[in-house]
Amino acid sequence: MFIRMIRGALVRQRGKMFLIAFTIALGASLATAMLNVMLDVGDKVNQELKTYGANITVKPNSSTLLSSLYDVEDEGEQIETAYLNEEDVSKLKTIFWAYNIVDFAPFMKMAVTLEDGNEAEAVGTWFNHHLDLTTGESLDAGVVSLRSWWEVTDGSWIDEQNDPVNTIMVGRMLAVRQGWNAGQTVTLTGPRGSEEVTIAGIYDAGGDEDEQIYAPLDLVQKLNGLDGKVESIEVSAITTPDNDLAKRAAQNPAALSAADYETWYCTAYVSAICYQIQEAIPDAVASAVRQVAESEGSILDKTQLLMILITILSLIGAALGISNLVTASVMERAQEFGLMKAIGAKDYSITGLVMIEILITALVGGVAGYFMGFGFAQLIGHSVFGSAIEMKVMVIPIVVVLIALVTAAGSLPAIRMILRLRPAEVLHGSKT
Amino acid sequence: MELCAQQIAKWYHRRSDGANRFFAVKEMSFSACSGTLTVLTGRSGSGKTTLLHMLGTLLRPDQGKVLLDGRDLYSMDDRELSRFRNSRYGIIPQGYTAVRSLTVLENILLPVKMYGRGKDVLSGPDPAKQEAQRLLLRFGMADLSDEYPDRLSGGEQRRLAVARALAGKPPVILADEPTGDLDDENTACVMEELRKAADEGAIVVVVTHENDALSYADYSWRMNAGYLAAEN
Ligand SMILES: Nc1ncnc2c1ncn2[C@@H]1O[C@H](COP(=O)(O)OP(=O)(O)OP(=O)(O)O)[C@@H](O)[C@H]1O
Ligand SMILES: [Mg+2]
Repeated sequence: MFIRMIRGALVRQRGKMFLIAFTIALGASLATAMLNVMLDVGDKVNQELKTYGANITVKPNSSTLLSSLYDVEDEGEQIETAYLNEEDVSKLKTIFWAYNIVDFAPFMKMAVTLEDGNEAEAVGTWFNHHLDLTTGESLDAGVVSLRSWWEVTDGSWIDEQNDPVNTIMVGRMLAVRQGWNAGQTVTLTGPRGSEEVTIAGIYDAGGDEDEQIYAPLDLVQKLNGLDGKVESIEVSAITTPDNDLAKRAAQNPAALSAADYETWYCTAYVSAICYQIQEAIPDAVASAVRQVAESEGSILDKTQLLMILITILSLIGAALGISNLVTASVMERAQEFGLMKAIGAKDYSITGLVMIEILITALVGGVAGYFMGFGFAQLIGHSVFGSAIEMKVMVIPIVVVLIALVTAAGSLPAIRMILRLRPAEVLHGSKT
Repeated sequence: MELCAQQIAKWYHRRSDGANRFFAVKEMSFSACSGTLTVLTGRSGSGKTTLLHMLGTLLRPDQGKVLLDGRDLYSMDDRELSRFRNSRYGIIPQGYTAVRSLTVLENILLPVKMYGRGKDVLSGPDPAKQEAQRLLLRFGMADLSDEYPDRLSGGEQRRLAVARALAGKPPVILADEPTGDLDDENTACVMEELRKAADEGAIVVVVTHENDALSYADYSWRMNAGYLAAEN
């Protein structure tokens, strides 16, 4: 009979119940969409921040550039830019915080002429360069791990240990334009001659690199005649978040007190690591590129905050909507509830009845809302972030809890009304 | 069993009266015993419904006590009072009252079923159900037992309320204008059933405008602007 009363009430008030379910569905869908987008985009960016790993770049000191310029003038030779020495790269692993340096790769860029006369930029680097360090440690450093988020769409990464030096990797866009595939042999021409090279793989980096050629450092050095030189080094290091001391030190380590200097030097602040890299590699300037990542992080934080706000506001809106509808539905039945009290129903049996009605409605609305939210998330994903949003299972319990809270909050005024309902006041002879 | 009101009063504050109290029921005492039928008459607004609600545990008096068998009704909390009301009282409210999502028969059995008293339906004959069907037949509504209340006429809804109050054979029956819009024949039916309940031992109090009702009464009182006066 209890069940029939609930079913009867649901059927009789289907218009109102539909509106309640719809309101809940809207709230649930927004919450689902926002939470999924938030978590997924957060994950994506975090993952990229992690894999972007390179948080320090090492470049030749511009003062060396100047001095070499003067040298050039004195000796009347061609103007050269400054370079670092490839042999110094492994010195990174000799600094105090060597263990915090996870990965690194040297770079050298040049323009090469392709067979059809077009130009492209070739980047010489290490892929999985094997190093046996003086410490007895050995490691494979290079872009295979430093650019781990790249997707090799055709062929495979270059394996420096087994592939010949005349092997290259080509960016997706460039490969499409040139009609190149993995395994194909092409000719690259630089200022110091031409080389026949084999394409080991095509990669999708999702950025400017898709227009470039990535080649072993030796090959690029051969093409532009700069043996043993590198333009820059990217370093991925595990660092301690900056504090006040780190900020002061970054401005001028010499200004620190001896004790502060000691503390700073022996903490893995990015500035301390940079300082030590400069000590190890002559004429080099190491600087943190983390600021970029940090500002990206803060934009992400702000976007997430915005999404949280939208979610909260929409849930508050849903709660208000529900509270209006539920109150109206209870008011409509005030006399019926008064009668039930007069027959002997306890307050909480009647509130229980109404709560169950609303719960059933909320369940229907919530499930519908979850799937609507799934659609919204994909819509947002494609229109804003240009990719699908992965639906996280953990969102389901969060949405369930949120909807339960919103429904409970929305039903509160109606519940209060039922508790305050005096049968004597509604049984005065009004008509059904 | 005795239903007994001691110096009860109920007042309201009316906007037009400012700080003055308006007495819906002025201080009065009242009592009724098992096996009697008491009729309350009076003009509209004289406080009949208010008195009945106070006797029926539905409205706390502003002053005085209501006792059923010596038990102070308004000293109980909601849970206790609800159960008490369910098991002792059959209340026929003024106007039309029914749970719209239940059929006529289910409405009549609702008070009995509410606390699971009618659970032995499957095992053997259910006296409440039999009584309900008997009353429906008596009120000429036998073929309406599976209808929903919105389909009923005003008079049929009144008789539904009477049957709902009587089916469980409660010891106290309070009827507020049970024959309000009934024809003479049906009025007689309803009054006879109320009389029968009283003869079977219930305390029956009936508010009515019908003079015919007086012939069924053991006692009759008249309400006059909140005062109670004996008529015989
Ligand atoms: N909740 C309330 N607030 C203020 N005044 C009320 C309230 N309930 C009843 N009254 C007043 O108390 C008086 C008595 O009301 P009551 O319902 O008892 O009348 P009644 O005798 O049953 O009338 P009727 O025959 O029309 O049903 C009325 O004047 C009414 O206006
Ligand atoms: Mg009345």
